[in-house]
Amino acid sequence: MSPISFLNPLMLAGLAAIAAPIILHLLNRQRFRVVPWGAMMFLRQSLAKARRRLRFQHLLLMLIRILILAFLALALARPLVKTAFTAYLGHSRTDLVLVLDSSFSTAYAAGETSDFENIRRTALSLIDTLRQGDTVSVIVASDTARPLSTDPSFELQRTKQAIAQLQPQPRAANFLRAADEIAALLPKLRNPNHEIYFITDGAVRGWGTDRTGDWERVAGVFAKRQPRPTVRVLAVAAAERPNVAVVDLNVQPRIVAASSTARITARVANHGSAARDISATLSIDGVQKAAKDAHVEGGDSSTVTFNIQFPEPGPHRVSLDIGADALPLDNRHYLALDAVETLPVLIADGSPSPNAFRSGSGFLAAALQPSDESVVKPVVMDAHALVSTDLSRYRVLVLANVARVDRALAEKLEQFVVSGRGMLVAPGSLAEASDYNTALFQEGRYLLPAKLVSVLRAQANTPNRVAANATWRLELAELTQAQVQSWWRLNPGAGTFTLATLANGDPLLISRRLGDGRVLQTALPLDNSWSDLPIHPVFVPLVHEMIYELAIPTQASRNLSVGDPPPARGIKTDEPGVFTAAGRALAINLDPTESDLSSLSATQRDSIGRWLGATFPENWRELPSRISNERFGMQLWRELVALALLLAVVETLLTSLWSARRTFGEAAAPKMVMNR
Amino acid sequence: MTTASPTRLDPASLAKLSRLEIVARLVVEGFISGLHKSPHKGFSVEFAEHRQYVVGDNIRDIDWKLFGKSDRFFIKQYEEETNLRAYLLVDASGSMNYAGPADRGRGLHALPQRPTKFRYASCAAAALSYLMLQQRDAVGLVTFDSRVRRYIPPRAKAAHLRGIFEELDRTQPGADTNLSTIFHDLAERFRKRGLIIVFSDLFDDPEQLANALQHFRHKKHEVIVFHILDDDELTFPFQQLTQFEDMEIADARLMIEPRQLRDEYLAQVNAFIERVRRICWQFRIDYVPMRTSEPFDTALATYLARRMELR
Repeated sequence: MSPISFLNPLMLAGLAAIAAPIILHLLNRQRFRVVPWGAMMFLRQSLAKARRRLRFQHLLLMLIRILILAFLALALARPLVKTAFTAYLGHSRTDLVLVLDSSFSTAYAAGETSDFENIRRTALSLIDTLRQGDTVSVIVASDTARPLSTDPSFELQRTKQAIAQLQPQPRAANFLRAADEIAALLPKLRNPNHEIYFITDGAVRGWGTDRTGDWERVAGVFAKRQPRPTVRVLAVAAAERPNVAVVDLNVQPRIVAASSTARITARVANHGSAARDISATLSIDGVQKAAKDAHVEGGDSSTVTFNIQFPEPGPHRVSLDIGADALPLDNRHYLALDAVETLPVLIADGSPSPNAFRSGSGFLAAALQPSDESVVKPVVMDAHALVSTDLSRYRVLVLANVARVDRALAEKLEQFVVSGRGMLVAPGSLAEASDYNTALFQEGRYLLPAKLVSVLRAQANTPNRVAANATWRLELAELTQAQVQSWWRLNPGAGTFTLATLANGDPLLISRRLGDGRVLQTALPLDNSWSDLPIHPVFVPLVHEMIYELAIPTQASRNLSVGDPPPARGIKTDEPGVFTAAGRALAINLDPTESDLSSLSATQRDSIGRWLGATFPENWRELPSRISNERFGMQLWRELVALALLLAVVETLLTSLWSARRTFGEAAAPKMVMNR
Repeated sequence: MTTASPTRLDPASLAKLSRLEIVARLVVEGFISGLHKSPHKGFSVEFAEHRQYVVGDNIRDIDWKLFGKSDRFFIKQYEEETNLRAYLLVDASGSMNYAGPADRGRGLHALPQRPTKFRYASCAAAALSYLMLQQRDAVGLVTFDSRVRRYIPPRAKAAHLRGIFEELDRTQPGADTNLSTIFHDLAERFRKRGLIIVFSDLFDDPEQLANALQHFRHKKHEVIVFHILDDDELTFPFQQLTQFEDMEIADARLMIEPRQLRDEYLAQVNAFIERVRRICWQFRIDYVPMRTSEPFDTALATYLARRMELR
């Protein structure tokens, strides 16, 4: 940085104003009056005598006026002088901006003090270097980056107290957002010296180094600031910080039936370089149920599985603990689940028949309840009775080859789905395309995911098949064995997902979310009239998956991350944990990526250094004693304004002195009255 | 200031002059006494020369004696004898045309426009010639700038007054001044001694002017200098940047910030006036300063009154 910079360089344009006296000076030569004069001999003599004096006066006045304007323009540009000389002139006012990494990983405590304690101490010692007139701004850089106060604060003691009360947040870090906050703060900084410190644990996550575009934007704001702020990134934690964390916890099957066995799988990641043996403990509803030992290689992850029975139906709180390490917060993971006794499914059959396997629902009902112990309890009824049926008992409704749907029924179905249930629509030969398209689809405005276009038929000897890649969730190769003779060509609406297709590319299974619920639509009826799908063994898991998929929305909304929008009023999601609220279990987990404590690489440091103009001082402990020596530099605007004022006074004095002869000179006029 | 001026012998001025005449008549006696033996012995007629008779001449004037000798008609011409032969030397150089800047005192602050110095001089000269012709003194007129523009020889006839007036009225101040040369020239030309009355701003080199005035005195002329100056020339009241254009030399101009030059200018003017005054004192010349802002008749009367006291 050059020794002189300008806080307000635009004002330098005002220097152009020094042209004004010059122009006036020249113009002065143009604007005059003309007097025909007789006594030229005296004027010539006077002029010869006064010429040198006049020229000197003119030049001196012009010089003074130029200097006045130049000084004023310079003062408005607010020059800042930083030279070794001005160091003797004393401390320059400083605006200190502290970005405190308060992500939960800063709770890491390898020794007596946690990393966050180091961050806090460093912040306090930096504030201690400030003096009267300096300001401090503190930004807490979790993924909800927030400044402690909206404006730079002169109250250093109060800021220190606020920092002393800070605790690590159960959040991930986000320095990009913090940088955005600084960019918004920069225009409010008025002192000549700006120092920005990112006080972090040195971990790579939180920097978002892959978001180059966003960083370039921030870099543009920083680069424009004059003078350039001093930016330092301090990594106060050890470079190597081994950490083991539970990063995932899930259950199979996704619908847990009470008193049946469920498999709970935990994934444990080892972010250190050395292999670790851990002991995982599973607790259900606060009671320790099982424990297992596991071995995790360094930089790898392994899974631990438990087979558990939930004897009671209803909400259950599951937690997995792998014991304490330097960062205990992420050694625990939570899962909320709802064990169900039964999963009542209503099948509305469009072609009921005494012979179940000739009806539209026979195969489906049989597949859903292979035994009496099955959790899924299908109920078959005539589609005509649907209008008058109370649907509230059922979790899932199936429209199996239902012929006609009117708007009244459609509205009832919509309410059913929106309230968090699922509906499966399997139109067959009976389905009236016009009814479906107007009452249920209406160009995607109603609940149906896709429009029924037309019924297509395969050539007799070359049946259509399910596409090989369309194994949606099921790893069921047998599904491609099924032969499809006829199918509805479906035209999916907006916001839908095609989960499976036929070999010719036509959609087979389309999904759509609606309110809290879900709708699935197939291109086939789930009987043997258009395909031989029901006679394949894969049909049973297939229909189960579809029913689970439709019943699961209630399950997904139970497992949240910290900071997710609360699912209901009165529920907070800013702390990890598992609890029961309003009759259902809720699990809130930490961001698992934050558990990775690996440090910034050299190239990443280079990038950050380039974007922010930042340096990464290693000896951050000595920094507070060092930086106060750097804070010199003088704002000269006061001195310049004073000089301009002084010159203005001098100018006024000189002009009045030189033209004062006009008043005093009157007496010197010759007395040429008549002698009496 | 070339139009007919009210300053010129208008009723008011004449009224003042007639009062002046009463004062002046007393003055004149002392005024003339040094020059003539007796102002009251009437206006004897002295033979001057003969000239051939032409038709229209008064037969009375034919010299019959000469006719007897030469059988030709000759007219006998006489020279009027006067008590006083006065030469009015009126400076008609360009600088005499000054009457203050044209735009001076516009609108609310309008000041009465002063006469040009030449007009002022003309009035004074006219008044004096009137006064003197009333007393049968011979009055001649010389207008000049760089050369003699017009010379009207002195006559004592009352009708002569008209010629002087017309000449003064007709004259436009014009070219450069060359006082000393012209004065030397005139000093040689005026054979008979008389009273030389100079109306001028005397803008010339004072040393040469001294020589010229000395020349008049050497020829036994009595000299009165009416030094006519404009107030502007005495006080230099200009404020803003001004281009002064020489009234005598074309295209000679000076761009001047008057306020800054004022002291020097006033010093110069004062020194000049003082020098002229000393020259006049040295050669026993009456020096009469006149400002165009003051009424000329008052100025004249004051002078004449003072002169009367002195004699």
